[in-house]
Amino acid sequence: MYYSKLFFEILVWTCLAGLAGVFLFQLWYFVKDVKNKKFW
Amino acid sequence: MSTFGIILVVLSLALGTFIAVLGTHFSKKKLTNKEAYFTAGRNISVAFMTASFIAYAVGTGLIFSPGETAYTTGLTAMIGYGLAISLAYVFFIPFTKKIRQRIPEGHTIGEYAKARYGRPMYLVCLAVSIIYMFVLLCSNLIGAAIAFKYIGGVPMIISILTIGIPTIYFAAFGGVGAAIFTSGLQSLLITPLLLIPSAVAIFGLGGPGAIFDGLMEKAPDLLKIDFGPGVQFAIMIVIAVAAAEMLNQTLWQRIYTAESPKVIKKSLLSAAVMTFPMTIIAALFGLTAIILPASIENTSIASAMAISQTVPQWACAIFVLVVVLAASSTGGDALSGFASIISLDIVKPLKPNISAGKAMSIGRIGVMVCGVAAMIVAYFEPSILMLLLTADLLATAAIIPVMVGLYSRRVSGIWAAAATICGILAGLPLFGQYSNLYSFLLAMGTSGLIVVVGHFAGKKEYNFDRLKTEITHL
Repeated sequence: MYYSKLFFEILVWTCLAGLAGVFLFQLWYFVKDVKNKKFW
Repeated sequence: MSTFGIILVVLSLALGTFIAVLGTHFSKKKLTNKEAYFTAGRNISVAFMTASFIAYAVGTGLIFSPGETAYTTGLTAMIGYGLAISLAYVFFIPFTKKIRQRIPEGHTIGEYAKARYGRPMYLVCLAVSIIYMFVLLCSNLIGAAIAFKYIGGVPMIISILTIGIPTIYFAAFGGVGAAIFTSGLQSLLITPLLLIPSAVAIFGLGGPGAIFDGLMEKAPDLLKIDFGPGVQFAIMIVIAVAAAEMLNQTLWQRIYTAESPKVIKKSLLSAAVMTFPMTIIAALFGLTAIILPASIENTSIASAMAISQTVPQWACAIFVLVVVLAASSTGGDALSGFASIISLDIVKPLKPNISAGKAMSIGRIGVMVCGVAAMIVAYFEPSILMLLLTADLLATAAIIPVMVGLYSRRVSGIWAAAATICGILAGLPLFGQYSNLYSFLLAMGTSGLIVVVGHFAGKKEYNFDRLKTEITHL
């Protein structure tokens, strides 16, 4: 049984979008911690 | 060496030096006492902790090993690799709570093994930790050097020095604080820098659909859900990575540096979610290499070859910077773990009254010696995946005996050490020959079985309060 082309496309596009999401989430958390003076 | 290679070396050196100097400077400002060299003041917040877990996971082990896996064993194994890296953090969460509860003033995994189990298990645990950290460091240097060699034609020795020296500098002089600070910076930079060349490569090849069609034509077996070697690898890598991470001094050190158990839990969960897409995208380069016309002489370079042949030079340069960041962050983590192991696990038991200042100096010397030794090994370019799997096998045999000690009062040091050694001996004969999965299952099963027998056969009950009284601030 083979993976479908659709599954492969969804996996790749989701992970690519996820990568962008990871960056934005990290940026947001850094800003939040800096604002709350919990940077370190 | 080509002009492009020289540009890569200069860019990497500039980035590595900038991060190393900044990390060391920041860490020194926070180095309020010598203890902080090993624990960063036990005050790290969620943002830094998450970034630190991500940067730790995204070493060249993540950039190249999943690619090598995808190239040799296909899509199921590639997804398994992504799950393995994520699940390792999820599995670790309940143990981190127990570790902080039992050993609130801890520093290393070795001091726990010594206090809980005594000398035999302490020595076994120390050996496994040292081998694992050393392998981790070597694999990161090899990965970076391979990227330089195949993308820019840079000689191995120059690329190893370009990555190695700034990394050794910040790990030696900034301690764990510098490692965490630089991990934070590196983690923020790695994600966009990985995204750019990946997107360029995917679009350049005509999208995921075109890659899928190419694979179907050239290697359809690798797209089978139930492709035997892929399924076996996927199960094995989940066991291997989980065991290795839970027995990793770098992660134990992070537990002690966090502000609270809540911070650890949040950070591990966030990192678990975030590392999955990173692994899959990194592994995709390995699959891409299959559809390219050039033959691959060494499977470790599959990702580097795919990048160099599918994206323009500017995107290649960005990818090399990702590799530099990945190698130096995980390499720095491994080296700061070494500092703790050498000064607190090896020297302190021999000289119990050693001052924190002297422990720090010894840690620095240890970092430099290990760093240079790893650079020498990396020069000979062994397979990254095989190196990591060998270290993972040792960790798989040790993980149950080590972790059970946090819960069972009745397992003694002799039983724990015997379980680990028998686990390694049971797993080694099959390793690399027939199936690595059976090798890992045998290692874990044997050590687990012996620990269960040890629990029921044990007569003395260990008092867990001893961990609090015997493991204290420096």
